[in-house]
Amino acid sequence: MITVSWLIAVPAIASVLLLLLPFSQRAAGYLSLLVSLAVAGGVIGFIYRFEPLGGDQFGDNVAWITQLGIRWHVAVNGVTLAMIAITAVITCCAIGYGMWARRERSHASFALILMTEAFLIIVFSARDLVVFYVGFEGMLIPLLVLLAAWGGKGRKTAMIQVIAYTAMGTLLMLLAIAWLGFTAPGGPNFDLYGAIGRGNDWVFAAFAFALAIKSPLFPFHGWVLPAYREASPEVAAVLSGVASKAGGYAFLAVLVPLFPEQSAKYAWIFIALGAFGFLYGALLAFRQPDGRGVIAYSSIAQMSFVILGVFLLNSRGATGATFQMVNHALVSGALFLLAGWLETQAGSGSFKHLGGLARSRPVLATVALIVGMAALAVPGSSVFASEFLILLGSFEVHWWLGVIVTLGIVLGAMYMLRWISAVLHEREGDFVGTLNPPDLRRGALLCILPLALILVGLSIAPAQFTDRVDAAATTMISAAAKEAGR
Amino acid sequence: MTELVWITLVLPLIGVAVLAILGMKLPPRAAGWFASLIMLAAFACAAIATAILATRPAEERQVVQVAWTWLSAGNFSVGLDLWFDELTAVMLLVITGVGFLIHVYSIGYMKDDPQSRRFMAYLNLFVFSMLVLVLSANLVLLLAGWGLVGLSSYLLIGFWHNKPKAIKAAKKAFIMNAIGDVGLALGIFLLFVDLGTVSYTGIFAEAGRLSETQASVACLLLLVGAVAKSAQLPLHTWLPDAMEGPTPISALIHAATMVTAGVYLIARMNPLFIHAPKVLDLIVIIGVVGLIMSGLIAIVQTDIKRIIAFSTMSQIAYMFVGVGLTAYWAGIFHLFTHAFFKALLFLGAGLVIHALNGEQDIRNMGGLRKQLPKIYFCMMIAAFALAGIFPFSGGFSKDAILSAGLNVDTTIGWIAYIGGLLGALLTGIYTFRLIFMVFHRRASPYAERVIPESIKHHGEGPSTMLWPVYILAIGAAFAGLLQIPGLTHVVTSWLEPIAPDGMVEATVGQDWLTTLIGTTIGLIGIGIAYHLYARESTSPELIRNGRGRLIHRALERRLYWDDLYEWSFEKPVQWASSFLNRDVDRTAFRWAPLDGLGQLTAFFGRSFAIIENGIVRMYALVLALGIAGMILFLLVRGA
Repeated sequence: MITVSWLIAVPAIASVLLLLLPFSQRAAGYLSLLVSLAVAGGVIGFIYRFEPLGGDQFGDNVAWITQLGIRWHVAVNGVTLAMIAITAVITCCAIGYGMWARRERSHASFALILMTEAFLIIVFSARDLVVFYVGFEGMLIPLLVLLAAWGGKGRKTAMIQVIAYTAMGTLLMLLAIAWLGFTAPGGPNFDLYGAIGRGNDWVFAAFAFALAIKSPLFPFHGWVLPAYREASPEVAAVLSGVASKAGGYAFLAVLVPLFPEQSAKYAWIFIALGAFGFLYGALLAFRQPDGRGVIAYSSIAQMSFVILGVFLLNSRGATGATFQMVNHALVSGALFLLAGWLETQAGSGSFKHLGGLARSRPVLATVALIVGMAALAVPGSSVFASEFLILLGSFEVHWWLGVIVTLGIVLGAMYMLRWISAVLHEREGDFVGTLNPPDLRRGALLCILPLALILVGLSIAPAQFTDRVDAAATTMISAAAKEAGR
Repeated sequence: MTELVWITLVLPLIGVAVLAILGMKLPPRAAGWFASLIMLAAFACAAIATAILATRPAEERQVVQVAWTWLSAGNFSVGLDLWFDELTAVMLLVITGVGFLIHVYSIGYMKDDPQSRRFMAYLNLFVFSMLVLVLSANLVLLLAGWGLVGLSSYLLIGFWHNKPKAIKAAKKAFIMNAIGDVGLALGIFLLFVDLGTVSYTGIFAEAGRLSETQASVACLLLLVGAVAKSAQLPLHTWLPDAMEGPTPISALIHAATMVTAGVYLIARMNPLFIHAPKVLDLIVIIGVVGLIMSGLIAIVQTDIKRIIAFSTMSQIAYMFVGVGLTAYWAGIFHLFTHAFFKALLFLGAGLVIHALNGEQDIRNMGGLRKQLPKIYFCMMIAAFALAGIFPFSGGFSKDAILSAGLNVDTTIGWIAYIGGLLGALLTGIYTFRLIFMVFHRRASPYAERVIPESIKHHGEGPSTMLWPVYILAIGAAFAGLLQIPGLTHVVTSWLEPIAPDGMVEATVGQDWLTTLIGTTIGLIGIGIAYHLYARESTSPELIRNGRGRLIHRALERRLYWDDLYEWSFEKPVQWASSFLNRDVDRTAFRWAPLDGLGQLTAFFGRSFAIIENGIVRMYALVLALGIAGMILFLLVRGA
């Protein structure tokens, strides 16, 4: 039986091999793509065999560092499955895009992306707090190197900001985890389920702080814009598509189950920040001068919205938040790859120079429209389905909360419509006129189209998703919900 | 029968898929005919399904079928459920029937456009979305259809996407409708919280449990969605701008089908609205104010399509009055006849514009009745129907709404009656102002120059454009005969079962009295239009600068609604966004925390000079300390 450890080991080993052995550009590309596809295949197997009501599945639980009571405990439940599925998909697309864009020193670049994937799967499947920490902290290393070595002009500043912010957070989280582990009755024990309900307000705060930065939740979003703007497109897609989900996922699957009492007590803070961040991010996205700025701020808005969903502490909120994370991964992944395509083919991501690209480029226009319309949650789309659940959950908590966040939908429509028309419609931009980019074709299309198609598929039958996730997501918030009296 | 309904729903989707995948390989004309035949097949299925439905006894005519669960979380679940009853059947026939004619018309209209295949695909997409809207058996799926028609409308208004005005109009329509979607969504949330269900069956069965306040708030929220989609006060300003889209779109989406969705929603949810009598009164008031306001604005417009657009707003306002008075059948009857005569008017206008090489200003037309006799004849039928002149179709349906007001005999009823008659006067004026200025008077220099050339090239228009107009003309002339007071009752008896709590029906005497008054007033309106606009001794400029010039200017600015929204919503959002971007986010959230951190590290005595170094080193230090701590612990434990 393939367990989730395999999905971690395969990309990890491949990444080491790619770094050590002298592969040619071509061989490195195809090998990485093959490995990422293999992981995706493994995930498909999981989806096929998955029992929605079966709790943790496909796991391993073996002693790792016995002196500290640290165990290699990994497993898959509905929420984990959703997260590793998008990790696999986004990784495939990112590597594919890197091949299309002919990244220099590509073997190293792909190795680091695969390493990120391995760490991310560790985060999503860890059932031991130290294992979780290893994944959470570890993924930063390849991502920072990717940003430093393949980033744009302002990458140095971007890196400093990322390090400063995330270091602040993870330091506190490390202390929190150490506290939890060493205060365990009967010697150090870092088991996730063993630590439930043992924390106090300070430990909760330290944990929450780290996750809020990672997600990011307003007002801890300072690092996002520079990082998303300077990273190469495929890295930006991984960062905003899946790396940010480590924060959102951990809120739902680690923080809330671990601290039911505190989660219920302080839920209002996260609800307030989430609702405010949702509107704030949308408002800022509206006047960004370029595509990446729009996606960055819309990501802030979306992730704040996800955290709002988690802290509603009801089934709608939890399932909706999981679904929203998947949708956002697909949307922002596709949008960043499209942004990258525009930067290479049309020479700029700035709205000043773009425009009129729909003309005689039907494939680009169709793909961009599907993604754009999903991003603005047009009723009937999968993003609409997930937003609907979170909004309904908000309304069930407080009607006025529902009213406030539902108004954010209008802002979302405004910034995405601006993006669509600034890129595709209106008069032809000067760069478009001089460079005359071709239509979206083969290589780049193959990387972006799957994301659009998955969005369409999820729009047709979102219940296929929610049915698999609902039980796990509801279990995660149930203890806190009881505390909150919901 | 349900299979046929499913086929009706799926056919246009197949059309979209085929055109999207094969589109570029098909010749444009073949793509056009393919899309049209798909629509014809859908119409045939809908017609047969309706015929089968009609053979059933009245109490068995409501068919609900659950296909699969679309979305679920906890005890909340929404199915892809299909609802087919008398009201749906009417909508289905209008959508596929008029839809088919307009598809055929589009073949001719778009024949020189290299993008015509994309146009056909969008048209099929629109029809599919509209069918989802009317076939849904729960509010969430209705909202999905609601959003998808909004999307198709956006795509089609902005079809010529290198025209900045068209793109602006498309975005405006989308955003105003997003506001409506928000209202509708909140209404659904409220109903789910109060009743625990979003399906029609559930809501209708449980609606009695709601207090009047609960029911009123829910209905009010649904109404927000309805006014946005149907371009009624106060969310109406997008519709005139939507005329930037191709004319067949104006006929299909912005006259015959999509904009009537609000009326459909209220009629469909009537078992809920009946518990909110104040909201029903509000609907009547919105209707009356709206029909008079848009009638007045229509009189001063100079763009032929905008005149018809304001007329559409005015006519939908009549439908609102009808459903608000609980005369649902009358509202839907007017929806039905309006689909014919308004689509006809738009398609006729499209032919006129076509003949004039794209000119839309009626001041540059005139005297066209001699060169375009067939179009003139059809447009006259549409105009009489619109003006509500007996025995044209619009007369019967409009009078049905008004006599319902007479029958109700409350303050609201009288407001509806008198307001509606005033509206009839305005309708007569603006409709025949259009007719006289386009077809009568002396030809403008522009028309004189362009028309002979154009006639020589393609006559009055290609046959694909003329035939749909003829067929619609038949409908516009005779559709009213389905419900002649005291003689035929097709509409009332067919729609009776959709309102379990009953609906208002006027007596035969009230009906004929209203017809007499209505037709007289309509004729007076035509007379006024003749006096003001048909004679050569007056000119639009003279009237514009005459005694009422201030009012004239205010109406030209559409009573400042657009300015109101620009200054109360659009600009503030832009300012807020710019302000936050420029002055808040960068300083407060991006750099301030770093500066603070830099100072903190400096405080601990690490490289004061450069913040950056401080942070990197601190990071390294933390990592190192963490690892060292772990190793230390291991050693201690191990020993």
